[in-house]
Amino acid sequence: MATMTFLPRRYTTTFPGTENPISEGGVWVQGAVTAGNFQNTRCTPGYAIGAGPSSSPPYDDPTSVLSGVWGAVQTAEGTVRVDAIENGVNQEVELRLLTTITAGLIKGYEILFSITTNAYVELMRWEGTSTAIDQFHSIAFLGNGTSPQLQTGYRVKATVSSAGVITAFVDSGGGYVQMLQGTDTTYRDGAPGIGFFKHAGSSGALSGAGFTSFTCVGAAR
Amino acid sequence: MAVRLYFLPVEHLTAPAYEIPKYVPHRHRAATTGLEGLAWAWVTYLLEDVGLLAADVTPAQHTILNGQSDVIAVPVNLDTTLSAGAVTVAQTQLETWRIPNAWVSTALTYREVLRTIYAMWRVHNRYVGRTEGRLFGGTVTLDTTLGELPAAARQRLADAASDFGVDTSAATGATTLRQALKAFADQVADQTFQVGTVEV
Repeated sequence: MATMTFLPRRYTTTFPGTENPISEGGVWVQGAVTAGNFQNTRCTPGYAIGAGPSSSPPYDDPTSVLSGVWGAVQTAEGTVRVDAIENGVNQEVELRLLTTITAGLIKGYEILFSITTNAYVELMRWEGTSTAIDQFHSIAFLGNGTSPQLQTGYRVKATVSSAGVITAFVDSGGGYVQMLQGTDTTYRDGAPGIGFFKHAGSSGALSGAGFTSFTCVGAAR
Repeated sequence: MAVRLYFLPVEHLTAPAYEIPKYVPHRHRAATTGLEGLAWAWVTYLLEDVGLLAADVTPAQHTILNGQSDVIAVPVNLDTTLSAGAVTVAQTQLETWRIPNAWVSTALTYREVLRTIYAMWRVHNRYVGRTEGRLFGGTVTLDTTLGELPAAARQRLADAASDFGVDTSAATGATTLRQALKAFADQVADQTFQVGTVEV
């Protein structure tokens, strides 16, 4: 049966339920459930986080994207909550754009924001090769503590334009400030979503940062 | 400070398998001394060994990058034409990077050259993204004909070009990848593109 998708479309959530993995009525596609090699995301009322830390390697970041067709022009944004920082290990909240999760692989764009004192922002492409799950390509990088260390209440946003220009923003309370911009035209399909990363570190603790809200918009090229 | 463009090699890290620009900072590898803290963005020839990087560099940082034997600094003024020496360098390097090269001449500006190269990269990269694998490698070179590619690969290449509005109807089984990439690129090489915050 043919299906029809109307663009632009928008989805917003404050993660009201307790779900592991996050489903919200079946709108989320999950890293472990669908891809198998990655982890899921989960939520308690008002808070979405990763299902667990990563032993990294492999880099099996908890990842979920929205189901359906979202067009090639996308925006994703989330409000950050930081509970626990384990300095010395990488901890990130991540936005996903033009990302596809299928059996055995995830491909698309990751826009990651560090929450540790050695703050960094990076635009990445997940190659989606089936030979190894963690094959990545860096598109742009701002590091060495030159980006703001995220705190609870900060908002992060990522956009991708019809020309493949990907831009990362952080709002620390005074409005969004552009952090980093890069270009990649490898993918034009896929959905927006969220992800998290925390190396298991010495504590082996679960992710100490997540999103309290998430909104995304997709439009045709 | 000045935002400058550089062609530079891809560094292929392992554990994780990560492609990053050589020399500049990344969280999985320290920068060359003097380049610490440098923010950058780049576009690449996907899964091949070269990228075009934009960075807001100090004169000292430019000297470091420009001093690397495998880095080519692009002049700040993109609207100047290439010298004969620059054409020779460009043609030699492009062939090494598996990019068609015979079209580069002193009649072209750096902006025109960059747009044509990027137009080829766009089609190539979309192909790689669709295929989840490389175009070149094994027996496939720039001189491989479309007819020598498997039918599925040939169709994916046509689909990748069509994604960008390229008419592929003139390509035949006897067309080489060298000819096809350039012919596809010529149709969209008038389009601007962005590297970091630099519009080319």
